[in-house]
Amino acid sequence: MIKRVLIANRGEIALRILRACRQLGLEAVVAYSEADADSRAVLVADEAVCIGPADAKQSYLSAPAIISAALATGCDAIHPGYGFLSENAAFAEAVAAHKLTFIGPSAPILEKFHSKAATRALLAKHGLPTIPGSDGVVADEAAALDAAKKIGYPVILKASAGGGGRGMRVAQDAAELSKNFSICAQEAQAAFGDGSIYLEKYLSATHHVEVQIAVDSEGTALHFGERDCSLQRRHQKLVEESPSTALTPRVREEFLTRAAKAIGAAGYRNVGTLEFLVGPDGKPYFIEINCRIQVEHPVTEVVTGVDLVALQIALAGGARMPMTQRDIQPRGHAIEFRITAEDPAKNFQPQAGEISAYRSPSGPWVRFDSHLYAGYEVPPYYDSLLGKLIVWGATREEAIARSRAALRELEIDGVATTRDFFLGLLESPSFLNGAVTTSMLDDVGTAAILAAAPRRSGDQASA
Amino acid sequence: MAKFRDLANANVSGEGRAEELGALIDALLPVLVDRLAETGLGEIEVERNGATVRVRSESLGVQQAASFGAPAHGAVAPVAATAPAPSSVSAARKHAVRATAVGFLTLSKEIHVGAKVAKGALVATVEVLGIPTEVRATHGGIVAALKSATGDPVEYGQEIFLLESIGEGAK
Repeated sequence: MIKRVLIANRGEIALRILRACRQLGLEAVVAYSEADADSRAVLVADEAVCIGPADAKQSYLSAPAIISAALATGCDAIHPGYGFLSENAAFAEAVAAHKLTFIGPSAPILEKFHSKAATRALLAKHGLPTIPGSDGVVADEAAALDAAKKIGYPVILKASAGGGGRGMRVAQDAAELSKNFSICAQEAQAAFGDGSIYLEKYLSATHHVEVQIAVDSEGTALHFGERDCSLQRRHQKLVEESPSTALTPRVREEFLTRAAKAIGAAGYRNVGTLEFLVGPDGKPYFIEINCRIQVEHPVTEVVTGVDLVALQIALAGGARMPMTQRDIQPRGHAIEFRITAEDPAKNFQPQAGEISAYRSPSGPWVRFDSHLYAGYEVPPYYDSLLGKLIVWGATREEAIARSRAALRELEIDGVATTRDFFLGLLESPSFLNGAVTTSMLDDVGTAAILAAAPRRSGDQASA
Repeated sequence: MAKFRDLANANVSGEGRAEELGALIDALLPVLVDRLAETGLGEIEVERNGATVRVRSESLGVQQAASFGAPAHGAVAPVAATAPAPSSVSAARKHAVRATAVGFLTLSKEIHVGAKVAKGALVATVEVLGIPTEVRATHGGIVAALKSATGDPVEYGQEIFLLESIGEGAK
């Protein structure tokens, strides 16, 4: 049984985990870097512990610092959040070696699902359709060219150890593949410490859908419906919604059931997400797994009513699945907007600085997960997520109408944000009719979306 | 902390470059005054863009002297300004020795109130998963107060003890 959790993350997710702990009656200690001493999670927490300097390598990415902090503060579990060490098998192993519970899949499971190429093969064996690709990792450029010939261009090169949308390059033909292969391998080596590359058929202008799953220690696997995360910029998700506009009810039911069955049988445990691309036949094809709680988990929470972070903690503590598939009946439509400190007018350049004024949206069916407050200094060291606006409606149209109202209520001054970009997006015909694909941003263009954003009478001509 | 605005009326003179000098002082002085108070050093000199700002601590006052002369020009336009010392300067000459990691603390045997510590001396270790991380005195001085004891869990940056500066001799 978990009694006291060290929260080894920052920003909005640290706050989200803190809330789950409190709701479950667990004690929580927020671990923070020097740069986050004034962050909201630290201010709200009953206890917090500084684990190192701003540099993430010496704080949020330092396994010794985090485990030592857990021991020094008497915690019996560590929640890694997302990013940082959340999917690091060596970290999970070290946590377990110190008799602490890692809130996530255990080290052997993280290890097993670490290789994207191997996971593809494993889940294909368990009945999931996968996108045509290379037979595992390609050894060199010649092997890559060979595989690409069989798959057919365009292909996408992916780092087998990659994640978070990084380490990918598209090749339209053999010349591009030759050019990109060594670059991609070098980037993968630098970013993930592993230069292994595999190939997949590249599908453009398609839908990215993913299934939220949870598996208990006995192998009982449930799905919690899908999320459509098609609106992306450089493989980074901007908007997520549930249900997807791309699936027919028959396809959806079969796809979700199959995904849950396959992941349970393949030996996965705890919460996770299976990502798919929708093929030209309207059916989803598996691409990769995320072995963590994801940024966009609230979309699923809002339509299913299930607290996924609380479920994750319970499962890590050894609990049996507290519900059956029949209990999970998604209702209505939810959309999440990632409000980031990025300037859409300047190629989404990341921003840092003081939040001079702040007003969060509220009202019925509006949830804003954010660590901001007026006077908060956005540090330049970490990712630029400021908050996640999640809005529910009985229908997609209602959710969109409420999203417009909520985005207009949101006020963040001091740094440029993506708010106006989303207001413009909600005027875009492609978005409104559900034709949101992975290439929509390229097709429509950021400038056109920004131009469509309604001007507020109170808006100042700010820079 | 010393408030720079109290010291801002620097009597700047120079050869048509007072504006630049003023900007330099504006940028550096608060940092220098804090650093001076924190370290207990007698004097700090910083060179930026060919200009030099020097801040000197005296028993009852902080005197700043700035000279501005880009080496390329070879010209030196000395400028001096004096201002009343902020009251906190002398008090802030106590310097905190802080934990360099999160973990369990072991104070070195010779660390007790009144002990003399040389700059660079090993004063404690923080056990991080069984591996000791060194804490060294970044300044010399006399241990004025203990804030943590051997066996205590400490966080990164936590005050372990305070050192009182004993002036130039302790460096």
